[in-house]
Amino acid sequence: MIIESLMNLIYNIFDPIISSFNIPKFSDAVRVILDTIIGYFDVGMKILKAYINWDLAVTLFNMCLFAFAGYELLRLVFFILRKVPMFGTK
Amino acid sequence: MSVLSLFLLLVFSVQADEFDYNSAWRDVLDVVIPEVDAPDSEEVFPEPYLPGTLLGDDNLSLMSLYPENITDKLASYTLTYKINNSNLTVQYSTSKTRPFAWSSLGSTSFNAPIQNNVSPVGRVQIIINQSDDLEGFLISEGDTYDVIVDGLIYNLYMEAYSSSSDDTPTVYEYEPIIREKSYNTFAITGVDASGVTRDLTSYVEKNVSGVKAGTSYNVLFTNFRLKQVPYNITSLTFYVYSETLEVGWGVPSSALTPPTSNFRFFRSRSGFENGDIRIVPVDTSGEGITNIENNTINIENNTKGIWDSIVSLPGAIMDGIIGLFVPDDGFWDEYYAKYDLLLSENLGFLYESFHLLYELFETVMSGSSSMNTVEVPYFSYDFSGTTFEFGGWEVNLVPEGMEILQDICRSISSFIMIIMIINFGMKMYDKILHL
Repeated sequence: MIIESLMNLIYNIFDPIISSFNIPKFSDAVRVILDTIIGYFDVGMKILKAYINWDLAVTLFNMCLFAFAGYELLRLVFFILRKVPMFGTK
Repeated sequence: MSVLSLFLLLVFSVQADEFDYNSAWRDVLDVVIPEVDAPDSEEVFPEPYLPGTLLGDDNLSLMSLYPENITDKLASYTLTYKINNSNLTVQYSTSKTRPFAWSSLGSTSFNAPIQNNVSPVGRVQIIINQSDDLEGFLISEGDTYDVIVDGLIYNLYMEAYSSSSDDTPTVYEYEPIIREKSYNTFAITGVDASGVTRDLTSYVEKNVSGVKAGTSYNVLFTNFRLKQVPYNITSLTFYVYSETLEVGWGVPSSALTPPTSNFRFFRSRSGFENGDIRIVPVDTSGEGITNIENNTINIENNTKGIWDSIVSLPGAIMDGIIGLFVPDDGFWDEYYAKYDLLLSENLGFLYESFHLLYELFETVMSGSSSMNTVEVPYFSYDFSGTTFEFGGWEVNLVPEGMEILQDICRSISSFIMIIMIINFGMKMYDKILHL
């Protein structure tokens, strides 16, 4: 409930601000071009996926990201620990 | 680097199938099931519909269904319709990432399923839904399904078809159909005792709020009423066809009388805000049934004794404490949906730009495809009076007899990737040691 209230408060602050914008959307012509580009990108990915074990690639990529994130988290923890004098960590 | 990693992790945590793909379809919010008067007690019930018979609109009729390309768990079909006296051929293809196909009204053929989750306005949506079970189901001759076209629900009957030469009806296994990117339409379907799926939606009451010119609506659906049916309904499903999900609600087959329930529809990504949705079945006198015995939804809460209350007190207290800090189920979905709607309505092309990037990212991060053919998107450009055309043809990625090449490439690439990840792990381990 606390989290929900806090998040709703944030939303209620942002709502009138963002609502004040009225930026137009892409025109249909631009949209068609973008769709075509994305379509070619999609075809390229399908070709790639046909010859590469993409499930494995995605899994390994996720593993790398988690490892990076874990490493950075560990660095942060050590950084904080070094700031506590009574630990004497260097 | 840390910020980048955490950001990417955050992105990965967003499930792809819960993402709103196309805000343009919110424009069809007002295309809902036509509101009709509640049925009175003397209503004459229609006969069960026949194969290909229309349910709602005389302008459309289902002509036939033919299989085009059958692979193990992947199939595409051609559905021929007649709309406004114009022939329309729709190719319907099933896959996990492209569950729907779309077709232009009035065109003679449509050979490219929806690309990149973009749903061009004015096209026809085909949904085949039979089961809430996403583990796949069988489509065979004689099965009936719901088809939604321009916000109206039609019944699709599977014609006899066969890919074999001995005229033996063939049963094809399908990939599961996930109903996303559909119209914002509410419907209730039921399966009667003979197994026929029926559209039971009779009455829909909605309130529209937050209407601004050029934007989508916030629609609050407040009341559903079922058709009176002369047959026993053995199962009932409440569908909310939205861009992102369906809400299915099944009644056990032993419950022949549809119960009532209050629904809090929290996933407002498709354009409508929170609201209680009441499903009110009517009895033979036309009155709404509000208190049904053996209503499995309410009875559980009404039969608690004192002892049960005492026993459950610590758990209730703990739940209360946890509830202070842990949001309810679906809160984050709702919260995300609110932001998504807000941004899509007001930030225009800025939102669409990020949306496109996300689509690209999703395309990259989605799993491998079982399709060995791709269709190159059609592209034409006029240059000094000369029209340059490209694409529109289908390419076989693995030529016949070259399957071994595909296996070799996959094996080699897998081996290289594993070597890379091992090398990466060793370096990371070394870095951690020297922290």
